Amino acid sequence: MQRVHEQEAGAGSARAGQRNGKSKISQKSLGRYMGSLGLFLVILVFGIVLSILSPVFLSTTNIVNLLIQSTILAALAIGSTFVIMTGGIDLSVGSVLAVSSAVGLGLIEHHGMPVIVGVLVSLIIGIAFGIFNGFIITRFQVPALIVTLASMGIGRGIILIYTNGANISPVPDSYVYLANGRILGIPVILLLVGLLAVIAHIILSNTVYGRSVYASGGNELAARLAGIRTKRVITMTYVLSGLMAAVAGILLSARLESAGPTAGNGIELTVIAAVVIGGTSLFGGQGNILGTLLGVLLISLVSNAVNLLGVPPAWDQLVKGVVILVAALLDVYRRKYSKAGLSK
Amino acid sequence: MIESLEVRNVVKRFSGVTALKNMHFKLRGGSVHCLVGENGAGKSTLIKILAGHYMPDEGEIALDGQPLRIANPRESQRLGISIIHQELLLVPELSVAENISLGRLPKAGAGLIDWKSAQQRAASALALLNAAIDPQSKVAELSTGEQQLVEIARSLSVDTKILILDEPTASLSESETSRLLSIIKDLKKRGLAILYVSHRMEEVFDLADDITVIRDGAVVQSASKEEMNPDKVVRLMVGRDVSLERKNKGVHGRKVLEVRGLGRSGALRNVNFQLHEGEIVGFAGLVGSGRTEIARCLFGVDRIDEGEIILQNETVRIRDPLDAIRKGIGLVPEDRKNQGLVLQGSVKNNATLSVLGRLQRFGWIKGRQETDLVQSYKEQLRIKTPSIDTPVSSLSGGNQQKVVLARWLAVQPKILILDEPTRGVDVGARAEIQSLIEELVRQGLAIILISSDLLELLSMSDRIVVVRDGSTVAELAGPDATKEEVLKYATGS
Repeated sequence: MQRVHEQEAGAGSARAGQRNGKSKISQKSLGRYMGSLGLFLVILVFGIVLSILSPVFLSTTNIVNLLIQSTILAALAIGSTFVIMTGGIDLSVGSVLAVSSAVGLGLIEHHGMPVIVGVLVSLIIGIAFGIFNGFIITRFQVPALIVTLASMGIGRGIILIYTNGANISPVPDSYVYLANGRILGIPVILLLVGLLAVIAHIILSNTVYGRSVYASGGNELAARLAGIRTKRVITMTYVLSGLMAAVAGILLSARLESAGPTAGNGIELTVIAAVVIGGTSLFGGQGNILGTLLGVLLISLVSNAVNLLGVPPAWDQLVKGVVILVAALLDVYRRKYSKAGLSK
Repeated sequence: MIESLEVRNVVKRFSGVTALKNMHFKLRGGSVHCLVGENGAGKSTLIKILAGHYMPDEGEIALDGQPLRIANPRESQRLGISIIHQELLLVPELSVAENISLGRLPKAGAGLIDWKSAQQRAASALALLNAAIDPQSKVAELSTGEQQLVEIARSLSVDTKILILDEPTASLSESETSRLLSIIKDLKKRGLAILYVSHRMEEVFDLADDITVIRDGAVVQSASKEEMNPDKVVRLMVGRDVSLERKNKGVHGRKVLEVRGLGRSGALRNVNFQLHEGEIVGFAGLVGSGRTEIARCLFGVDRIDEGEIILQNETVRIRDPLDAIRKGIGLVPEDRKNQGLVLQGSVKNNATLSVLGRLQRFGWIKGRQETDLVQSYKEQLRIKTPSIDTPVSSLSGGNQQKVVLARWLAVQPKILILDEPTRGVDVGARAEIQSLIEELVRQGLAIILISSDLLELLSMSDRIVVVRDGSTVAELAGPDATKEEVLKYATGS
């Protein structure tokens, strides 16, 4: 709205308006490019500092480790990007991660089911949570924050009851392969999450569904009046988030070779931080997967740094908090700057 | 009270683009000066200079002959300049009294608020306007017209000498408008200098003592009302002749829609009308009479409780907007920004939002085909945008509306409902949109036109259906369709 006025103010004549608009578009696309670029630079600087402070940092082992460590967060953040782009939020991902992996692994371990059945059941549980969240949110117009807070509690409760507080292990080899296996020397877990990221990116940028997500998040009423079934679109984002939470659960339990009641506890806020640092607007309508992945990378780097530099683990949370704050402030500053650039 | 406020040869540039080339006119105390111009002519920039948001690059502002600087908004207020913006600046959840004293609530000591004198201040300001508004009521519960009065009362409760109103009637009903106009005349008698920005000719010629027409950032002509007439003003504004009247009325084909006894509890009852191919049926009525509600029911946004909707001789149930679109109905909603467009989205994404199903294969959007489609509509509708990837938020109102129209042209509906299609659209684009509507009708489209601009409605429509209190109360065509007749039925007098 503001920009309409700015246009009106700035455009002295039709031709001047055109010229004005043209410089606007180039600045706009530059701004978008700068968004991810800015974050990339922050990560680069952070990496350089880290490589000076710790000679181990740039070793292949550490880099691969870092990437593997970020896969769980990445899987969750990819799912949450869809939800947050519609202006929603999903607090239940940590609980869904725990429930789906524990129940799936429980079936395999305690009931002798084949691994594939366990995995499928895990995925179905993730989807079921998503359908539940999405249905309550869109059908009864309850704020997503409340609904997913509730299902977060319900999920954590179910897992505590189901596991009686104990971890489920050991884990069959074929299950562990998902995390520790390698294809052509590349860890399977990286390939898998990388593939999911590419698919998510394609969905958002090139498909009717992706376009509907942007539209529903940008202006739900206008999208509905344009003939988009926004309730379905929004419900589907929670289904994707639940599904990705289940994927994250399977990968985490495969890595840890056990599933337990505390898995993924508190991770939901880190997920949201990663997505928002990555440039997805909490108000909906804006965002992309590349940014989300960079956001995940930055947060994982902090953990890695804390680790490498021998900072007491107790400091991990504090440092992470500060970095998230700084990144968010930088982002606001960048947006302001690029907006000022637009209005000139 | 002031003698005069003069804008002398003001020039304002924004990094190379000249927004105001040469602005000069004189606003006299105790008079109404109307400033008219299309969107983009420079009205907003000028108002922002008077409000202290911008400093002029050249020229000066003089109050009672004394040149002065308005360096910031506070300075502007100190000089007694008060501005009523198009979009109201009230806090909806606070009371009328709190809004009127916002930022300067009287204190009773110990950091407490002196509610009594806040109430009194509000009551006396509202009394100046003869407005029967309870100072304790919540602003959100008031009508738009009443909210505007609250805002005017706020500016009267400080020592205002110069009142600037920026298109104040854009969202007011007929009766609210006439009330506002009489209040403005009253304020003028009290000696206020009033700068009235509008492009509604009726209001301008009702109110003005002086009229200044601006185009492309420069004054085209500034003169007393006696030296002007509406046709001349429109011509000066646009820079060419603009005709309103539609040429071939009354030729239409077979029936495409019939509504019988349609009702929705609390909103509509006994709505009846028919619509034919190649016909424009205009819905007249006061704001809140139920015209928009009828449109929403036809488009599947709201459920109907009784009655029938008959499309091509078949009774149908319309479940939701997508269902309506599939049945050949389109809707250009009244509120472009909140209902019509995804503002962050590009021109392209907004234009194809309703036809993605046709542009895809296995869910994948065929980018090339989409671009071609939007390009062709961009040219056909002459949408002024640097590129189809530009966000629609940076387009002018008229061009935004063309993007919404492009979306519906792409859908190719049989019936198109246009709810206030030219609201907030400047005169030039308005004429283009009107001739586009004519063209569509000539091709056989059936159109339901809802407009609060009675002149537009009368000149465009083949038939007028008058809506009052949620019911269709009259159908007027040919010589019976006059302003007086329509108003008679619309008000029930």
